[in-house]
This record gives sequence, structure tokens and C-alpha cells, in this order.
Amino acid sequence: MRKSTEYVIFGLILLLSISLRYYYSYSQNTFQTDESYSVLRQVENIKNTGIPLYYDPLSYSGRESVFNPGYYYVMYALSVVFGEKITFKFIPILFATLGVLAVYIISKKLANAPAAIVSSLISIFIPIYTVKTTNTILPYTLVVPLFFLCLHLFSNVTEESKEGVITYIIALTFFSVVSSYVFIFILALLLYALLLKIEEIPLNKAKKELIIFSLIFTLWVQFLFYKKALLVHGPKIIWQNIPIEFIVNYFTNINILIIIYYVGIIPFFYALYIIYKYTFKAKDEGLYLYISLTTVITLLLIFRLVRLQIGLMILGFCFVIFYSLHFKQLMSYIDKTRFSKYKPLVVIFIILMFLFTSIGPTVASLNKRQSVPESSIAALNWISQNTDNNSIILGTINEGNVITYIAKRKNIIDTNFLLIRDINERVNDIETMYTSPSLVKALELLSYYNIDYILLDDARTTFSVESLRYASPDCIVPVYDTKPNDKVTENNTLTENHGIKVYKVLCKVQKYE
Amino acid sequence: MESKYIKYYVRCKNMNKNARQFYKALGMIVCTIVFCTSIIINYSLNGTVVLNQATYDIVRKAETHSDNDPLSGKIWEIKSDILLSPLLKILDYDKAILLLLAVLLAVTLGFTYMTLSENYVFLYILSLSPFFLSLFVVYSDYTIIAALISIIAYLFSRQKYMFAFIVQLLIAYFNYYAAMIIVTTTVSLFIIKKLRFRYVLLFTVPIAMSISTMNNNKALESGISFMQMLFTDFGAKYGISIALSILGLIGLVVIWKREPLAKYLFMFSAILCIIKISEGLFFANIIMIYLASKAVMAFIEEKWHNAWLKQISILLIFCSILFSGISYAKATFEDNMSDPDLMKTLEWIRQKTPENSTVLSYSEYSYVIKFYSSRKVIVESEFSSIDKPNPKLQDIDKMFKSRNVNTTAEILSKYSVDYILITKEMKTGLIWNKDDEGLLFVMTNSDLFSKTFSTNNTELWWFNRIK
Repeated sequence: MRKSTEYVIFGLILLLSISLRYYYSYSQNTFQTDESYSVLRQVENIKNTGIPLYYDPLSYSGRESVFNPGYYYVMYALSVVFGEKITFKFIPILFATLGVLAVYIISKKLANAPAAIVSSLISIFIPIYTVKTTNTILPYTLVVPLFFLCLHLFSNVTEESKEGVITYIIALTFFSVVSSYVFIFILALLLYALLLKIEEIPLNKAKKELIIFSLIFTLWVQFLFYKKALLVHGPKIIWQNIPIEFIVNYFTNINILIIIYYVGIIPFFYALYIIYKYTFKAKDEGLYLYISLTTVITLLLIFRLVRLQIGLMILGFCFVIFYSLHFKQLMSYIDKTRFSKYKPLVVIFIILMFLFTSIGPTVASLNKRQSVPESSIAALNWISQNTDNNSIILGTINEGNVITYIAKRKNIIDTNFLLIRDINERVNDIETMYTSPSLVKALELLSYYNIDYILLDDARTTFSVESLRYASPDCIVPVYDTKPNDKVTENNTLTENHGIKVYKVLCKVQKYE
Repeated sequence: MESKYIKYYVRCKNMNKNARQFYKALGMIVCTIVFCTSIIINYSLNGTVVLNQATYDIVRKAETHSDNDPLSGKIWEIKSDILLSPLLKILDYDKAILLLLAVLLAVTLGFTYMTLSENYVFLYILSLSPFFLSLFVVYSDYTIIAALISIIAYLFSRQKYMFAFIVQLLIAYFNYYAAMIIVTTTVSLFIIKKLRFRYVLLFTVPIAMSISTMNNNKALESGISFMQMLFTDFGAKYGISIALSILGLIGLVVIWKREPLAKYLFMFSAILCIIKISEGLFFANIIMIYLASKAVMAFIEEKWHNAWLKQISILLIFCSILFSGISYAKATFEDNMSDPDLMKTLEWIRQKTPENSTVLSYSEYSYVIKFYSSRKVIVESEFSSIDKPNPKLQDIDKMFKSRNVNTTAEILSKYSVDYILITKEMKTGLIWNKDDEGLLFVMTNSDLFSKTFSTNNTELWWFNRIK
């Protein structure tokens, strides 16, 4: 394949990836997840104070936070250069597309240019990656490309090139400040060293030194960021203090069907074949790095030590990279047979097979996914304009971040659970406050959390309640009420409304002294 | 393989002897600086050198010259008052403890310095570890045991076995278990030399595991995971830092072939931790620091392809150990009970309540209540409490959480409680999270209780047992 043709085709693939994400991102004014709004708040705080929200006065009505700040600084820097609109909508699309670029570069190195082209095309349609990184500004969008960038840079390190070592260290440093998932990367490096030892392949000295350095460096950096959380949660920090009720959403039992559904059937089966071949029959130092990563991720998923989403995203990319090797081998095999003249047909057949198995689930999932409804944004804007600045708003876990970002009011729960004591009790209390028929019981809790307003929006579906059963004209009164399908005017646009209520809490439980 | 280790040895031997002596001496200075800084910071923050609550008991025992605690009637288990008692005749307790700590540190450092031959890193790692802080910034039986162990190590290195045995007997005076460990380890090491490692492992590990299950079950049931008992970074009070553990493991790999005894020592420390976590951790720390020092020396002496990367790595290693030490120190200093409001309340209890009255509070306040108020308490948190949780604690815990006035009154009467001391910390996470939880609700709403004294951070409630 000529270089220019290769680049043109790859350029078109990148364009396809960007267009697909662009279409789904810009078709909606709001973001896909509530968590995206916490990123916006962090960037906003950096803009105002220079540092992210290590003490958040609104989240949980005031709490300390621990996190890797790198991603927020990157977004802030980009928002200064490109402006907020482009940064928050378009830059995540570019970040996510970097994953496709990573697949192309790695596959080209491991296999060849045509295989890299096919793999990069498949990578656009890894269902879980495409769905979870479209119309969001979550760190995932950058973490996955960084993962593979670091792996690629590591595999390029030689004893002769000092530049290679420096580039790798810069990438690793960046990765360490962006995400704690760098630990998975380190585990993969350690397993890689072990695999090479088992296979009696000498590990070059520069790489050996870099593995030691990476281990020490990442441990140290992550301890710096998470020392408080370690003291509070101990080893359970792995599960991020996620409430028991929600933990199945994040760390779930994994089985082959789930992997196939989220990653795609073709990459899955061919990846298994490649892993089998290079583990038991052939030797390839470069490939062992990716086999190690696949093994580590699979083990972490089996033992429920990594979030399902991130685990499957990385696994998906590894499988697509393995597929490039299979594609290369298949093409060379066909070349040796009498069917060589039908090679283009085989390629078309492969692409069609892939179209049927991966594109379908991806597009279906993209169409199914929901973003924060505009009617909810309208209700939150109403709260922002009509309530006291210090008001505390009761919302569900899925509304916490939009309450703090859009309404600029205190919430009592959101998706950042680290450092929160008795999180399970809090979750139960919230359910009680929405579902209890008893005004006394509800008021006890409302007074304890000092709640001033109750937002009944997501709770309708989460707790299956249409209204608060304990509402009374003396104590709990609706102050904002839209019936389902009323048209709500927001920024001169009419939006569908699924019925939102905001109640004001007028009374508190007085303690008997 | 052999030649690789010989080369390594030669490289070690070739290192300038004067440089080794210099780094060793510098290590002693670093230890002293860390000690002084910690003492000064703690004193400026809390106005006392006492850090550990158990130290209050040591002072009380040294003052009363009695084998029984006059407030609880129990036999004191602590022995370190033997050195403090004569000093209290000429100095007040703060200065006496400080003097003792300084002397014991000097003895330990002196003998360790003389014992260490080529190991010029040990003292740095020691001074930066949480272990150092828990030993030499807090006066306890273990401070004396540490000094005695350094003497034993020195005597062993000089092959003075008889003298070493006499010092071992001295350790038995302070802690039978510790003495037993040292004797068993010494004897075993002599025997194991003739045995194959795998047979030893085959028999000792299952035995240790079963004993561990018996010992640690209660602690685990109380919600504390084994990791939280083991690692200071996870909140253990007397554990090992994670950085040190990782370095220790690397050290073990480094000297696996070269020093066969190391693997036995490591195995012993692991087993000791499993069998009895508190004493086990004491020895595990010493061994881990030794192994970690070997790992760091290997890093320093290993020729790296990228020398600058090696320097950064070594710097990071020291930073991570330092980091663990600092965060442990911070947590320890903050834990020290010297809140002015609490002191005011304790003084009020001493002056205004009958001498035979009993005060109930969170278990960790028991020592300060006894020390500053001279009143009886119900539960005490001891160094070994994590191994065997006090059954009284379960009763008290039940009472703290109960909103039933009958249950509360029954338990309070059972233990003859007159006063209940509540602090802000107890109301904000230590015991309760809400103002109307458990005992707080009962006290507010029952006429059996009346608030007799309060400050911004403390409340003292009187329980009317007659009613």
C-alpha cells in the first residue's frame, strides 16, 4: 500500500470517528452523564482560584475531596486557548479519537499498515468505548489513549535512545497526575517482565530500569493524592467507598457474554486466538506487553477490582490490536493460496462481518443513551434564581453534580463517594426521604441534613414516586411544578418535560430539651 | 549466577570505607534530628511530650509505686515505670520522659551503629519510618525493649552469646512474649541451618495460620480488616508502612541467595505478625527496615544504564518513606489528647465530683481521665486491645447506640457509671454522626440524666442511678 493512500484512508477513518462523535455530541445541549458537570465545576474553580476543589463547599453540603488533578488542569488550559464551548464539547471528541490513533500506531508496529487501517476502523466501533466517551467530558476520554501511548512509548525504549526514555517518563508523569488507573499500567509492566523471564527472553536494561522507576514513581504520586482516603478507607479504597446498593453498577461479575456485548464478537474471538498462539506457540517480545495488559485487566475484572467500564474499554482496545496481527497473518496465508486473487473480497467480507456485529450494537447504544434532560436544567435554573444561596437541595445520586453546577446549591450526595463516612446510611436516608409516608420520619432526616428544598425529578424513576406522600401545606409545599409533557421555555427553546417538582421545606423538627 | 553475586560483593567491599563511616554517622545525626523535631512539634502543638495514652498509665504507676491500679484494682501490665520512677523524684514527668527517651535513643543508636558493618542506610530508613516515631517519641515498654535488642544484636555480632542471653532475660522482665520470640528465633535459626527451608515452611505456616485465625477473629469481626491492622498507611497505629513493606520485599529478593538467613528471618516476621499482631509487628518492623536498607543499598550500588534515572528513583524511595513517616507523625500528633476544653472538663471532674465516682467516655479517653481527673473508668483501650477486644466494650458500644432508656440505664447501673463525658469528636464520627443518635437521644430526653458541666467541645452528664 502506498504511503499517501494509507494516510488518506487513515485520515478518513479519523474523520469518521470525529464525525460520529460530533453528530451525537452536538445533537444535544446537555452532557450524557451528571459526572461531566463535576468536571465543569473543577475547571471553573481552577479558573477562579488556580486550584481544583479539594474542599468542595457544595458537594455533600461541604466535604474534602481527593483526586488526580491533572485532567482538570488540562481542560482548564485548553479552555483558555480554545474557549469553553469548543473545549467541553469538541476536545473530548479529539481525546477519544486519539484512541483510534493509538490503535493505528501500535498495530502498524506489531503488524503492518493494512492491518493497522482495519484495526483502527474497528476501534471506532468498540461499543463501550464509543458510547461512554461520546458527549461526556470525563477523564476516561483521555485515560484510554494515555494508557496505550505509555505502552507504545515503553515498547520503543532502547538502551541507545535517551530521548525514548525521557518521552516515556513525561508521558508516565502526565498519566500519573491524570488518573489512578496508572496502577493497572504498572501491573501490566510487572507481568510483562515476568512473562519475559518465563519465556527466557532478555529484558533490555533500560526497560528494566524504567519498570522499577515507574513502580516507585507511580506509587509515590498516588500516595500523595490519596493518603487521606487510604487512612479513612484502608484497602477498601479500591472500591472507592461506593454504596453497596450501587456497587454492582461499577464492579460487576464479568462473563464472556458481557465482554462480547461491550467489546464486539470479532475482536474477542480473534484476540483469544492470538493470545493462545503467542502464549503457547510463538514468541514476540512486543506483543507480550499487550498480552500482559489483557491478562491483568481480565484478572482485575474477574476479581472485581477495577470498574467494569474502564476495564472493558482497555480490553476492547487490546483485542482490536490483537486483531491486526490476525489480519496480517490471514492476508499472508491467503497470499500463499489459490484464493489470493480474491483477497479484496475477503477484506470486504471481513469488514461486512464486522459491520453486522459491532456497528449495530454501537449505534443502538448511542441512540439509547440519555443525556441530562433540558427540563431538569430548567428546574435547576429556577432553583438557582429563586432560592437562597446557602440552600441545601435534596436530589438523588444522579443529580448531585448538576445541582452543584447548574443550581449552584449544596447537595447531600453525588457520585464522588471517597472520604464520606457512613455512605450507605446516607443512601438509605435519601430513599427514606423520598419514599416515606411519615412526615415525622421524613422531617427528622430533612432536619438532620438541613434540607431546604426537595427536587423530585430523577427520583421519579429511581424510587418510583410521583410525588412526596408526606407533603403538606404547612410543612412541605411544592414551589415548582411542571406536569409531564408541559413545554418548558429555556433559552428560547421549547423542550419536552417529564414532570418535575420542587418542594420547599417549611418546618424543622425541634428537639426536646 | 554465582559470579554475579561475587561481583556485587566486590563492588560493596570496594566502596570507600570512610564514606561508609561518614554515611553511618550521618544516619545517626538524621535520627537525632528527626527525634528532636518530632518532640518539638508535638510539644508546640499539644503542650506535652506524652503522645501515647498508655504513657499516662506508666506515669501513674511510677508515681504510685504500686503493682495495682488504684482506680481499677487491676494489676498493671506495664513495666517501663522502673526507669521512670527514680527520675520522677527529681524531675516532673514531662522532663523525665524526655530524658529517658533521649538516653534510650542514644543507647539504641550507639549499639546499632556498632553492629552495622557495611549497612550505611539502615539508620536513615529507621529514622523515617513510623516505627521510629512509635518507639522513640512515645515512651513505652517497647522503647526499652528496642534498646535491649540493639544491645543483643551487638553482642551477637561480637559472638558474646552468654552476655546476649543475659540481656534476653532482661527483655523477659518487660514482655514475656517478646523474650520468647527472640529466644525462639535465635534457637530456630541455629536449628534451621541444618534443615531444608521448604520443610520448615510446610509445618510452620499452617500452624501460624490456625493460631492467627483464633487470635484475630474477634478483631476482624469488629470490622477491622487484617490490612488495617498491618499497615500504618491504612490507619494501623503500630504497623508497617506500605513503602517499607514493598522495599522490604525487594530487599528479600536482593539478598535471597546471598544471605540465606534473611529468608528465615522474613518468614519468622511474617509468622509473628500472623500469630500476635502487636508484638509481631514490632519485630516485623525491625526485619523489614533491615531488608529495606538492603534493597536501597542494592539500588545505590547497582550500575544503571541511566544514572540520572537511578538518582531520581533513590530520591523517590526516600521521599516515599519520608512521606509515610510524616503522615503517621501527623496522625499521631493530632491524636494526642490535650484539647483545652477537655482539660478544663477533666479538671472540673477532679475538683467537683466525689472521689469514688466512675466516668464513662470513649475508650481512648480512659487514660487521660484517670491521669488528670483521678477517677475510675469503665473501658480502656490498650496496646493489645486489637488482638482481644474487651467484652465490656461490646456492652458499652451497645449502650452508646441504643435509644432505649431501660437498656441504657441497665448497662450504666451494671458498671456503676456516675458521669458520662461526651466530646465533639465523639459526636462527629467517633461514635455518633447525628445529635439524636443512641445515648445522645436518651440523655436529652430522659430525666435520669442531667448536664452538669459543658464547654464548647465537651459535655459532662450526670447519671442518677438512684432514680
